[in-house]
Amino acid sequence: MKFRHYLKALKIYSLLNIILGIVVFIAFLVSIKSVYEVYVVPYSAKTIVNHIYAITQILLSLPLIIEGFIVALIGFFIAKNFKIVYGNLKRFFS
Amino acid sequence: MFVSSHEIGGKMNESFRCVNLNVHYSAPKYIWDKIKAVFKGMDFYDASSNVPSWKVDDFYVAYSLEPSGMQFSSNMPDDLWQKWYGELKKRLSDSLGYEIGEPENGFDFFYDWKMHNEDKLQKVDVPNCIKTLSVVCIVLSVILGLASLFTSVLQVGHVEFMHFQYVIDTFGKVLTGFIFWGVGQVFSKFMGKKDEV
Repeated sequence: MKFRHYLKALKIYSLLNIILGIVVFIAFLVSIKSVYEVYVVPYSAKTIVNHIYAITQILLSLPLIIEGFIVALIGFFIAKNFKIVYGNLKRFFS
Repeated sequence: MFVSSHEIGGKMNESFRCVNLNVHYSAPKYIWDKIKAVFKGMDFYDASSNVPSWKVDDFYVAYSLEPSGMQFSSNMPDDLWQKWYGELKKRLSDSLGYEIGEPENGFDFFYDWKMHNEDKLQKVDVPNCIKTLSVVCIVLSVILGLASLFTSVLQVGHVEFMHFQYVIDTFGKVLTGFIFWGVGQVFSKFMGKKDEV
């Protein structure tokens, strides 16, 4: 298998990861309400603090989703511009 | 551009123009579809005509495709022509993705349509996307990390050792965000040096 095939595979993998990221984000949006209830229900006294805590706990998944998305973008960029990335890195380290 | 005065309706103050634009006849179908859409969107488009043409009062713009490029001939007065022609070039440039103008003014023809397509894909500025998402990630991590720390402390009523976990988590996420931002920045520089490699 030639090297460019690996690059192609990485490109496809990254693209699939980006699509997966979008699917996960949609799933996140769909499940917000039920997850919110999971966080709030255990507390009998539903104070404003409990609500804020529940909201922050839910929103904390956003950075993770974004990180996954960024990793996929980095993979896609490297696969697409491998010659440029490799050439620059080689020049930098030599 | 060829310009000459001639008589129309007994008046001698109109100019006849003939200009060529740098779109080669070998362009693929999808380019012609784009050009057709631009033509239809231009002022004075004559929908009743079989060939692209534009009409207003006694004035017209006729189009033909020649070996020298897309040719437009018109008898429009100067001010109307400048406005119409400027708009046409602007719209074509935006739609086709390269500068459209007269070859005699130094605007080259474009032939490598496959390469052109790849360049268009490259227009999705991945390094900038990475940097923007990293900043969003850092800001969200800091705000949400602090919010969850404070609400957790308020819920429990006092600070416990487990609350350090929030600080460490937030710090880790911010650090990761900065690393990603750095990667985006490096990629941006790589793309800037594209021609040197």
